[in-house]
Amino acid sequence: MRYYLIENENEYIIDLTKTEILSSDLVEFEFSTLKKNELINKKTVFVRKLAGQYFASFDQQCWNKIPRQNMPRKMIYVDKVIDLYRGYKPSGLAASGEGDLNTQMPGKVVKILAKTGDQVSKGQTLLILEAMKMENEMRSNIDGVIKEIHVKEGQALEQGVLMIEIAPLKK
Amino acid sequence: MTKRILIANRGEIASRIAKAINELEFVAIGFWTESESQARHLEFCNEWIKLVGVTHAETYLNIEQIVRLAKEHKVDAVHPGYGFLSENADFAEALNKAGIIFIGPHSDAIRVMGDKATSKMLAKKAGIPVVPGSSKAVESVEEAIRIAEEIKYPVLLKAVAGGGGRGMRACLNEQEIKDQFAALQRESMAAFGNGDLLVEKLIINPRHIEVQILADKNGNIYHFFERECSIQRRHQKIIEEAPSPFIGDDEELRQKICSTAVDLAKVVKYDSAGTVEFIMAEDKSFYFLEMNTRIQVEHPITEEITGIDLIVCMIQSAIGGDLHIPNQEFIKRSGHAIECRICAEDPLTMLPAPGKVYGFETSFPQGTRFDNCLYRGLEVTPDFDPMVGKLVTKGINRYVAVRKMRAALKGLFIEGLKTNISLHQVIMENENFKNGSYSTNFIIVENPQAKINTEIDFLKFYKELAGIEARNIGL
Amino acid sequence: MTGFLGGIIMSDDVIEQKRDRLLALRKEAEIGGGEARIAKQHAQGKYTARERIQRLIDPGSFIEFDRLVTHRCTQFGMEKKKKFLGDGVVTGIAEINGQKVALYAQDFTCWGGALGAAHAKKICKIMDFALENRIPIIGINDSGGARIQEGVESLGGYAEIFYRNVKASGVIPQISMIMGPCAGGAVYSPAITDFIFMVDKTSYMFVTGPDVIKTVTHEEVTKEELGGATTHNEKSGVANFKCTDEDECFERVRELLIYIPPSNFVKQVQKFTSDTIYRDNNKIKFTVPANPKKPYDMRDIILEIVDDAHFLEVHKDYARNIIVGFASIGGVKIGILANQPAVLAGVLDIDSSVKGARFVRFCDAFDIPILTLVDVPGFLPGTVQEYGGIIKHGSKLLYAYAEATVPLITLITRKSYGGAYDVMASKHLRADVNLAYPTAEIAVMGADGAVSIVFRNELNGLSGEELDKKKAELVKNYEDQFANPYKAAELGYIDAIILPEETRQRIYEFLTVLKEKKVERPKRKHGNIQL
Repeated sequence: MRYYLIENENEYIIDLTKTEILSSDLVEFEFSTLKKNELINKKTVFVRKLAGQYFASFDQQCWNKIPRQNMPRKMIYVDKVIDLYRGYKPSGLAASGEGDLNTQMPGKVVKILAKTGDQVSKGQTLLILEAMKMENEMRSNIDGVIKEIHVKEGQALEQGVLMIEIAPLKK
Repeated sequence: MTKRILIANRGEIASRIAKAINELEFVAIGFWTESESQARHLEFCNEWIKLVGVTHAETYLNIEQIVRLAKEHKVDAVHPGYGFLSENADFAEALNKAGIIFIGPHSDAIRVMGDKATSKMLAKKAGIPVVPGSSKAVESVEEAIRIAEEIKYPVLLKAVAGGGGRGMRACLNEQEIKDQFAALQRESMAAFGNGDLLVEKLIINPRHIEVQILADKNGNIYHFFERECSIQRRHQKIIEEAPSPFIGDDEELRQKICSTAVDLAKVVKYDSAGTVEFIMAEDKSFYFLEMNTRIQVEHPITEEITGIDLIVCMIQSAIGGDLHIPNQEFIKRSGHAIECRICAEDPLTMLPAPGKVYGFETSFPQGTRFDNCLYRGLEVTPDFDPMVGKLVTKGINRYVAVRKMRAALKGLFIEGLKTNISLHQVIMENENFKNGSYSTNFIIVENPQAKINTEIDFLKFYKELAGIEARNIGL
Repeated sequence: MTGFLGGIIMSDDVIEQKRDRLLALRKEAEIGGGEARIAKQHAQGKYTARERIQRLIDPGSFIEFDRLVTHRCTQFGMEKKKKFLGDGVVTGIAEINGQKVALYAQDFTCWGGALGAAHAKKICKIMDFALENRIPIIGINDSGGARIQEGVESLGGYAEIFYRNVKASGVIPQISMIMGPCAGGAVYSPAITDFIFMVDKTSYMFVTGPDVIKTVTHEEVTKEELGGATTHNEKSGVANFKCTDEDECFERVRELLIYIPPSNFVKQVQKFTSDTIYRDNNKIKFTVPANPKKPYDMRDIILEIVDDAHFLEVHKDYARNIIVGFASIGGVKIGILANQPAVLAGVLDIDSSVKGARFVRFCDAFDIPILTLVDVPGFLPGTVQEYGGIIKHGSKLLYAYAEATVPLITLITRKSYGGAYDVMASKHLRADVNLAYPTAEIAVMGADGAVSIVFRNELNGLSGEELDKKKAELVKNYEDQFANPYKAAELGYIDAIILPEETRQRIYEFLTVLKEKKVERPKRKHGNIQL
């Protein structure tokens, strides 16, 4: 099971890869942290209960009390406010899409509002496509730079045609 | 005879006062407002009165409403705590007129000591050293320059009505006085409604040292040794300690400064708890700064080193009860105490950070005291000041006290708020702080914020997540 | 210490032996098909059955059933070969987000996860358990198909599973996760279940595989093209979710289970949210453009009014002109169905009607209130649609709405023309609350078309500029009169016209009122929905 720690632009995935109940008062867990799919660290943690409190140890020798008892939605870490999700990252927290703009339906290119080399921002309208008697605004779904425009104004297009390629801005 | 005592305050000081009232087996009456209906201090009060209103002016600063409610509920005495109306002479007088005891000094003392200019004049007349400079408002740039030459540069141009670090400009030479004078006059007029300026000697690397005073209504005035509050930022105190590490073992100096404070208190015929603040230069010369005619936030450290409950004594002094203090010699000090103010603020920027407390647990070493108003579910709002608690440790000497404070900070767990706990932890590791060699520019010079580790400690997270999962499994 | 058993003295050693035997068997079952096969599974980017269960459920909550079951086949010398404990499937009860679920995971490392009689019996057992105890059933499919050696017993096994799928349909939620092959007859079980999750590149479903297809129809097609996650999510609409990897699949299942109740007997609990109910939706004040020819993304409106901007979209890539999914408002869990004006202008067609109808019927079966957001210009014209049977498929959505007895809240944001007005949860289909924005246009058809028909005579003799001017004038008159929700409001077909910024709070208020809605329908075995 995975936990997501999201703090502004930083997203960490904490992967709980092993849960083993060793006895009635001892559990073993194995955690690893991933950032951008790269493993940052990995550790085995043992938990036992003593006098109504929970204690954790990395080596079953030295035990420290665990103060946090319930899963918080938001965690404060020094000066950071971290969103914490258990088991899944909810939909609607949109993942950034690729930069390519394809036609989703047949239509005609009415107007192109950008040119190659332009820096564009997420949500900016780049092209107007007339389809189904509607003027559809095709918007960029990332911040980036226009790499190439493959279509012309007045051109009739089928579905699934690559219209504009956008290269993401390097952070 | 059981007395009914009203606490005209909120937060941790209200809890503190209520506990003292409970100890005396009197009736503790507390206030609450619509915006703070779940206040923790009510836990220790026997009766709860609602203060109607939204803003502070309508509630805790509303003399008319408080006096009326006090009369209605047949209150015998009112303790104002600190802040709000604690240094408001009109409030004291209104209560007295209504036949209610004001637990604090008589109103003349409040008035005289409340004004920086008059208090300074009074001190000077009493032969108490004051910061060299003009005794009254300076009329012109020329006069300012003339005084500056007398007392020698560097000097401080200071607004008479200013406070909390505002309305001050340092001038290193004549030219700077010429440049800053008019501007500061205008600024002060706009900010405080009073453009009068004083010229004072600027003390380099000053230490802020204050002496705790307690007096009864029979003319007995005692001092409870000194405190040092030099760790401050923008004149807001962050850490206080008692006794002062700067004075250290110099008993002669200690005796001198404490008896000076008592002398000043005698001049105004002081009759309650109060604090005389001094500024001490590197050459151990000290000058009177101002007197606070109320109980202060940092009183716990004095209580720790003397073992005497100041709030109880303050109440007893007001109602004529027995302080159980036969004479000054009875008051002895032992050990060293440090207090860290725990505030709901961002540790790096030190700006208030309101929030909701989701978890609160403490695991302290012996000799730790935490005066607070925290509980799970508390909403810390921007309406009130961000201080949520005072962490105090006492050790047999300063080294031990610092060691205990380090352990106490590690054992203080507040979840859901940004706090300055990590800032305190960095300061406790700072070499200059550990040596006791610091002055009021410590924060600026040492910049402890820069050393706060903000990197996420994943091993710590693992432990916490493991605990949560273990609990879910039903371990 | 010794004990007596029928005169035979049993020493502690014997007890120890009995214990050790069990522990050894437990360990053997853990390994499944062996280290080598496990390594192969991992090399393909797939987890083993036990790993999948561990990663899906709340840690430490798995209670296994039938760990030591083996097959009883004696054909083809099967009894002489090594028997895998568990017979290629792991079944049991676990918790997800604290809710008990029944689950089974086929183990590809044991004979390719092929299904035999004992394997099927295990699955049937856990499905019976789920049905009797009223908890959801989740199946992780990763199987090569029927075990040929066991002959017709394998087929019988499948049928027993299908029967239970149907028996449980509408009683407990059934979720299938396809995490490997699922071919031949095996696909019918997921097909009957409520939601199918597929993993990109490592899972595929088809009735007949590429090899057979090549010999019969001479078409050349790869497994991925024929029945991969993308195909089933975009082309056929068989699958509801496409996940980039297995971990994402586990997370989506966990997220889905938040929004659906554990059975049709239990009313949903509130979803925890810190989002305040009474917050202004000022962001969507001008989302619906003034120009009716301009499209907009309906998702902008949805994300603004739901709690925490969490909208779990189901069937995202199929029939994208209609949006269905789950969300909560003020903690009340609801299903949302909405036209998407940004795709095909939001028209209804065969695919979107079928997609919507299944969703509405699922929500109705499990007592989930439905919020319908309408911006539909009509049905998609064309021979493809007509020959494809838009008549019967289009009316499926209408049937579903009319049949539903859950609270139905409808909000018309802009267009609602023609028959589509009726279909999209109109008052006449017994929707409980019908709302509209001031930008709503409720009419038989759009201004252009209407004017051409109604004023045909007036426009007949004109041409050129005169024609354009007259037409524009008539269009304007028509729009003033009909391109608004007030006519419908006068008739009571719209209960209230609301401003976009009030949307969230008004919907929440209606949801709280409709909490205890109860409607009975005349008793019958079942209707005859036009399938």
